[in-house]
Amino acid sequence: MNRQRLHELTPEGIEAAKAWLAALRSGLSIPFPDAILSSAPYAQPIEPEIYVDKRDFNIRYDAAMYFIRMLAPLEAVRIINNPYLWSWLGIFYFDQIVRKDTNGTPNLGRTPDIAYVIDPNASQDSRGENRWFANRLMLAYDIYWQHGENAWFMLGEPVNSLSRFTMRLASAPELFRSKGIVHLAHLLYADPKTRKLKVNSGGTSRATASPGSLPRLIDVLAQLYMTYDVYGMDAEQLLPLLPSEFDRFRSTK
Amino acid sequence: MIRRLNYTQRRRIERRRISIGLYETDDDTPMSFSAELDLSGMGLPPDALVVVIANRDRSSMRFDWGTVANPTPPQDCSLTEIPSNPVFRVMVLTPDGSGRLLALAERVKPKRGSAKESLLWLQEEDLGKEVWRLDFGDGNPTMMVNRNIPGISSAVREDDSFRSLVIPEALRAILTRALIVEDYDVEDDEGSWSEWIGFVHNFYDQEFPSTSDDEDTTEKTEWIEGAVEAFTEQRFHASEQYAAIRSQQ
Repeated sequence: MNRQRLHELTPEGIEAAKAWLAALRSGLSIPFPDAILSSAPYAQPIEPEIYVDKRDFNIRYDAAMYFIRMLAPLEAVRIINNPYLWSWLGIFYFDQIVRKDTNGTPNLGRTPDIAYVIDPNASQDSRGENRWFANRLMLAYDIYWQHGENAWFMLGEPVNSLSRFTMRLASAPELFRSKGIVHLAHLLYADPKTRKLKVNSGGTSRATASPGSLPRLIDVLAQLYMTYDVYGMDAEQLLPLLPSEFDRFRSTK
Repeated sequence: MIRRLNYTQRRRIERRRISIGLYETDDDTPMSFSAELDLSGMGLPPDALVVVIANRDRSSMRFDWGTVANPTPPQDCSLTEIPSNPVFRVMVLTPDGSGRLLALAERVKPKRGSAKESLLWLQEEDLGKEVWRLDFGDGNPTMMVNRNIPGISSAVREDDSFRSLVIPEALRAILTRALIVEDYDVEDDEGSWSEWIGFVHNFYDQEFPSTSDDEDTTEKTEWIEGAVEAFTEQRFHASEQYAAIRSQQ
């Protein structure tokens, strides 16, 4: 079905969706679970009525813009951190957001289920940290909703992927919630000419992070946190507080 | 365990100086909150800026609260972007707009409306086939119970057969979350789980094991088991309650 009324999954729907994903992972060829999307007890319709269309999202930005417009009739509190809504959308748009083999077969590979379906009971890592950011569609919406065009450098990736750079920023809620810090990352690491990240901005691991890279920024912000309201400050206030190792990014226009 | 050292002369705002109330409705109206802040006698500049922030997971809302000498709560304290169960941060910043911190209180837990205060909050949700589930929040756990089961909230409060089976298990899960998953520092008497640790100390006085081995949780697990056992024996008499109820059936 290419056009459908927006629903949210129920807890039973999330279990059914996970079972379908497990079957796909085991190599079984089973049909798309249409019933999960529109039938009780798996799904319940959203009020007011909203209709969604199947469409291709070339990059995360496309998905973000579509969902910002499509979900506008709903109050924010019904969208943000709503695992049942984003799980329904993850199944409805599964064909658009799953990686595929060259023959077009969905290949879930090592991508976790949470990329498509958020199980509120099983979405934390071993340290108890929330992993909902890894949901591909919620992430797209959340980035644009929180940061708008300043976050284009996190929205240029294919919607079915999650780069280390984006993951670092999105996985730390306090960093991600801060408009000033995301804008600061934009000023430091985004190259407006190429519309890409500057070279060496992401770093590899924290232990071997190159000077001025994002992992170093996160460490420096943790130090500044002792003295400043870093999560509430503007990028222009934070920029002068950074040590000289950031000059290589600060000075590049 | 990450310990942050404060070399900055930044002051800690004691919990007794902060009172935050959380108000929920039965309809779709967003939660709202109120805050009473007593910042007197802390030596803070009268024109220093006060800010209150509500957080939950990936959502955050910031409220400018006037100054130390002239607190001015916003007219609208609706938490329109916070789904549930928030914690609060209260900050005092220099008046010059530089963002420099003068005083801070983190992870402040609100009190809920006029309901009788309980460490474990209770909330009805659609849980599918599940009867109950814990939402740990940021140190303010909530017992979610299935709203499709008639009288379920009353059962949690009053039904001894339900309570004897569920409450000890909930305590075990909460302590495991705090002490093993989050590796909470039990010496931090104003941290996010301090009220729960204080609660356990009311009936269990065994010293918490000090271990530098983050991987080996055996001693911590034993401490938790001891605490739950003491709770059921001294406070809850769980097995007796359950046996008595079964014998009446």
